[in-house]
Amino acid sequence: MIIEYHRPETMAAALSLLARPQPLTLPLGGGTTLTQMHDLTCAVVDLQRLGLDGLNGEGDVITAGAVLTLQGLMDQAGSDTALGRALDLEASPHQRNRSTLAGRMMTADGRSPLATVMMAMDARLVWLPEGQEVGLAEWFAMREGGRKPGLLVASLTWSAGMELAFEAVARTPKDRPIVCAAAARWPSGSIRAVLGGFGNAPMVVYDGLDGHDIVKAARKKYAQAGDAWASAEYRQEMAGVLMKRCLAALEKKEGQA
Amino acid sequence: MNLILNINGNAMVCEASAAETLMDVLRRLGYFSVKHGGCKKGECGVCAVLFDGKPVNACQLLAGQAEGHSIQTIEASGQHPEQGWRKTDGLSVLQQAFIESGAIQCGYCTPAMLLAAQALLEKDSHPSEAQVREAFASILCRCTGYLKPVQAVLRAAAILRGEAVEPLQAAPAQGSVEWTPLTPAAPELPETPGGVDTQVMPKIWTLPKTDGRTVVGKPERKVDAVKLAQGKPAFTADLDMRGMLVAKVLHSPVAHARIKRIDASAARALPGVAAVLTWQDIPRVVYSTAGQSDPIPGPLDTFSLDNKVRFVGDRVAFVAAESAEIAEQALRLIEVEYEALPVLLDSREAMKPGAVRIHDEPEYVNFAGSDAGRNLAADIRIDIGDVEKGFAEADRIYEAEYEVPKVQQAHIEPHVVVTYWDEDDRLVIRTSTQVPFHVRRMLAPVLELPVKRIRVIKPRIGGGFGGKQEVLIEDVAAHLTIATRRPVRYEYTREEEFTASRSRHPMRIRLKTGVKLDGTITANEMHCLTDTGAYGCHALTVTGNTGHKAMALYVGDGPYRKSPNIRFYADVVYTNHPPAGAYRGYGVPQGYWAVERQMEHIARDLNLDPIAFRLKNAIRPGELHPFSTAWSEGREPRPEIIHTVGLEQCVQQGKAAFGWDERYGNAEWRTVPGKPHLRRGVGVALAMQGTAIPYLDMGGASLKINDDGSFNLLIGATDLGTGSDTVLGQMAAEVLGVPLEDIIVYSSDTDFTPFDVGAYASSTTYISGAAVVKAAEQVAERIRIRAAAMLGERGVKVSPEEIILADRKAAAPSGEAVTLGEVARNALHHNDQEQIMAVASYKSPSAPPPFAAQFAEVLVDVETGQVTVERLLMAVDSGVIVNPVLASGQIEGGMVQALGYAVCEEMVYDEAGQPREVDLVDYHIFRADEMPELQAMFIETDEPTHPFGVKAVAEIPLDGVAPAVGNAVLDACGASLLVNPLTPERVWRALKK
Ligand SMILES: Cc1cc2nc3c(=O)[nH]c(=O)nc-3n(C[C@H](O)[C@H](O)[C@H](O)COP(=O)(O)OP(=O)(O)OC[C@H]3O[C@@H](n4cnc5c(N)ncnc54)[C@H](O)[C@@H]3O)c2cc1C
Ligand code: FES
Ligand code: FES
Repeated sequence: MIIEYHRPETMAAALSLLARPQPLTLPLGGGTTLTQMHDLTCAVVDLQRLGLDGLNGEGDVITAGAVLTLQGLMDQAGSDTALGRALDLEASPHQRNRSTLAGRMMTADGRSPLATVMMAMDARLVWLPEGQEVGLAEWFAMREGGRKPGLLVASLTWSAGMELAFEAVARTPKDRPIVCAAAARWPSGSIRAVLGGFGNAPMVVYDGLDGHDIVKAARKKYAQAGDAWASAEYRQEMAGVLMKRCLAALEKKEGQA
Repeated sequence: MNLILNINGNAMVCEASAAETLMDVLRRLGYFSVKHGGCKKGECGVCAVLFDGKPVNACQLLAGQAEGHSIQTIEASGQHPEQGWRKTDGLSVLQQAFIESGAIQCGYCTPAMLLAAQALLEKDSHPSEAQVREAFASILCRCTGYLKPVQAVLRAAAILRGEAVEPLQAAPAQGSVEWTPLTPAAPELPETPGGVDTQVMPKIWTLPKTDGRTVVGKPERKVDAVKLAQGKPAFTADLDMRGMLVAKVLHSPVAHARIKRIDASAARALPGVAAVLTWQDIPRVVYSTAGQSDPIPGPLDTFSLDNKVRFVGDRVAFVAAESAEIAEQALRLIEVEYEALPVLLDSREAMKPGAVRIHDEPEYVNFAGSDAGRNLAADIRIDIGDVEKGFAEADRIYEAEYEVPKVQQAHIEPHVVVTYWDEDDRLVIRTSTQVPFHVRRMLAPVLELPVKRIRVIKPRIGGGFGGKQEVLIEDVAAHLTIATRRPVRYEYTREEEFTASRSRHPMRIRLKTGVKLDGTITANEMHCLTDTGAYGCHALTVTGNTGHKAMALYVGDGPYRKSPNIRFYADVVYTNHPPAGAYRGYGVPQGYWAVERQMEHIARDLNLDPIAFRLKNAIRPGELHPFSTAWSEGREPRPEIIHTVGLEQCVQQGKAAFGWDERYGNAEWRTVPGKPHLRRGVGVALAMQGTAIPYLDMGGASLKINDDGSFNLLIGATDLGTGSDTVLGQMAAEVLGVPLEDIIVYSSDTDFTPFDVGAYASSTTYISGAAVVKAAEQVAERIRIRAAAMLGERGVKVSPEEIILADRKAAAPSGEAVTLGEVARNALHHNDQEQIMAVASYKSPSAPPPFAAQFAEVLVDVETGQVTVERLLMAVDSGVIVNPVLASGQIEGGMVQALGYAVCEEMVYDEAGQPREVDLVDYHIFRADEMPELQAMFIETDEPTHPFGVKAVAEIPLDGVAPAVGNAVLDACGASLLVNPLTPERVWRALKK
């Protein structure tokens, strides 16, 4: 149960609240998750006054504020882009109007289409107070171990200019994917491929230049990916099919460019 | 903490705790338009408010977060146009469009939809259909199928832009619509209808005899729509009472165990806890929760609380506390020691020797063939004709085993009840139920109260679909009110809806069909193994209907038509799954999955046209319902002739409108250029349902005239969002010659309204409707007698039989007339005073089946197995259509529920009986932005057993979609599935075979 609500005006005030040993004090993004955690006793620090909702591009780096809403990101990305489609599958409009980018990345599991795409984009979380930059894959691994690299995520960053592809299979057009795949290609030719739809976090399949055997690597990655929602055999097969489609889409985009 | 919230432009000062959500605070302040779906993940969207102009879920936002922002609820939009001497601007254009377009069924999602639409129109005055659907994507509606709400917004947008829109009050399109000639000429295919427009009227093949009716057959507005469009506090939970406690239930975490020890002392000691009840604290009364007539046609095997738990989610203890938080805390303080028992989940193991016995309580009361010792809740053995001889005469025998899953009703308003003692010490139960009279009768012994000291009130219901044909939670609140003497509210969370509610029975169905090479069916045999779960509520009757309806459609042809050979055997067994129960369709969708998949296989194997093959064997008018002499819901069966069968016309018109001939067997159409992994396909299924239970279902109506010539119509029938209040009002209005607005309809309250069995078995329009017509005819007769006398006093000689009631007048053939207001005042005040009134009831000797042809078009990804349903069209014979907009709304919404059954809905359990689905994220129901194109059309027949010729409409749309989709997938890519839903992995596996 939430026992205290704070809405600080400055980052310093927010950080000092979050640094308190007692009571457990958590950042509050949109609140779409925290409001429902009835079993957790904590105080919350609402980040809405801290000006963390911007989306800026500087050079080839894009920075999104931690409390940028999913809808805010979608408005920029466009709904028919790979990122836009992942956002559409991630949450419905009411959720997107409230749910924050950082809040999502804090709680996302392996079935999250947005985390899958952002991991392919090699998005990084900027943690305060140290300003430490942590890649999403790294964050999910730390989270597994119950660790946090700081008190608060201030922003997410990723590089501009990449091409993205995203594919998913689900029971219906807007259902949560059983398997999804995302791939990003940078002008350097470097490719990053990620699988989602299973487990506690999306999985990086490939990150490198030669693009060799990504489909095979994807299949291998999901060789044991069975759970109540799909057999490992099916997920493995779909990992290959969807990754192949992503790579074909990237190739097509390259051809067009 | 103290907050200042800016709500609808007013600064409201309020107290709220840090944990309180905006939804909690708004409802506490009386903004009851903000509804609650019990969600944890914000999946239903009915709690929407506009937050700085954008729709958000108020249940996912702390009240504290909202300070300094503008909050808007539907209370700020529009009001009733007539407020006495105070003039208002009336309802908003959007509200009016929702009402006129039939976009409101139960109305539980309506305030959220209106707000989402308002936000959209403020941003874009010319939205596309896709944008409207996107705006609704967060709001789950289980009633409408979203089509009419989308049409309503497009219509409102056009009106707001100043464009002319087609009036809706026009007569149903008949001559104006081109129909395919009924002679089998080459059908001229209309173009595939493209998306929605603002025209909400379905295509109806009307009967000439309905000409001249002024209210019946017209798209009248729902009588409750104005209040629902304003989000008025009309639902069970929209009530605040001083001192009201909140109830919570401790549910079993294990699937099968004896409670060795239970200690509630710590919970009882918690400040704010008013009562904790365990099995030791309340009387041990055995009963059944199935809301059915007396005697319940099933075993009595349930206790309010027991010392044994039989599924994950079964009841362990009840708590009443000052707040939900305290009640939840108390639940955590109850210590329970369970002695684990073996868990039985596989229905095939249930009756094997050595299987653990689920009901060993001595109080167990058998019904018919139930046998708790063998875990058998019900058994059915029906033999019609000589099945073995039929098989011997067949050229081919087809056998297959089909499987259908457990699925949820998923009404958006959860189960909810409020109980309190009134000033006469009578227990009032205000509950969201389909069966108020059964609640009263069935709970009386459980609570040790006589029936006369219980009053059940049914307010507006936010959807039921069978889930509320169960006396499911009323006893919890009632026991707690008895224990505490205080009002108690108990509302299920969405998780409880999944773990502790009811569902459609899962079944394994073996079908064996004998066929001659020319397509004549010689014999048909079905064996059902039904999993009723831990309790036998509806066990016998649901599965009985699987045979009674699905196995009755195809009787065979030639001599077999006169004497069909049909066998239907079923075992309904107990397991440690949550109990199944009533769900719209009531066993019949299960049967049609098997029957219609089997028909498709046979037609393809014998190289027969699948539709011609079906029609050749289908039942025809004037034939005997084959099951009518064999089975009737556990009661005495009596022979029944089927008078009206519009199946052939449904097929012909449906085929033409769907473009079937163009697509079926068209190899070129099946492929998608440039996308080799995609295939298209079409499928069909025919269906027959029932209308009421003959010789059993009974409804009553009471009607009286008021001083102004308006009427109060009191009915026990239970409108759960379907619009039955409206349809029954229309029938009364038609008989009395008044507009619908002159009929004040009220349903239902066990103290005031006559008895009615309730809303189930598709009986309301037919049974309760006939009662209304009877009462209205009696009132009309009194009016005619008095009007003739009044006219006589004015020198007009006319006999009562000659008087015509129309336009609010009683008129002689010569044209001289008195108004109904004059008649009323004459009767009430002036002359030989009497209250013109009547009470009537009706029970029917027949249960005329509606019929339908269901068509589906799909797109299959043959690499992933994903099925996208692109189009559903249903042509329905429901007799005469009383209200085309409401009836088509039933078909559209029903098809969408059935679509879930086809592709995504199922409840899955692990080996310990733990559920996979506990919310509406994992249990996916269709959203507005992923819908196939929907079309409903009606072929009217004139059912002679009803005064207006009606048959049922509400359940049949659940029957055909899943098999039609299954058949379409087969058509598209050759994948043949015996199990639904058609999930990607299942289709992929079938393709690999
Ligand atoms: C339909 C639906 C399905 C969902 N499915 C899943 C699912 O499968 N798996 C899953 O994990 N979640 C799921 N969620 C939850 C979803 O991930 C949350 O809605 C999301 O976290 C919301 O973001 P928010 O800004 O509202 O977060 P909040 O509720 O405000 O915060 C979420 C968490 O993130 C922390 N946090 C927020 N902002 C920051 C920050 N700037 N720095 C550091 N920490 C921060 C909070 O302290 C909290 O622990 C689902 C939600 C919905 C509605
Ligand atoms: S989304 Fe708020 S109650 Fe369902
Ligand atoms: S009308 Fe939408 S849920 Fe009932």
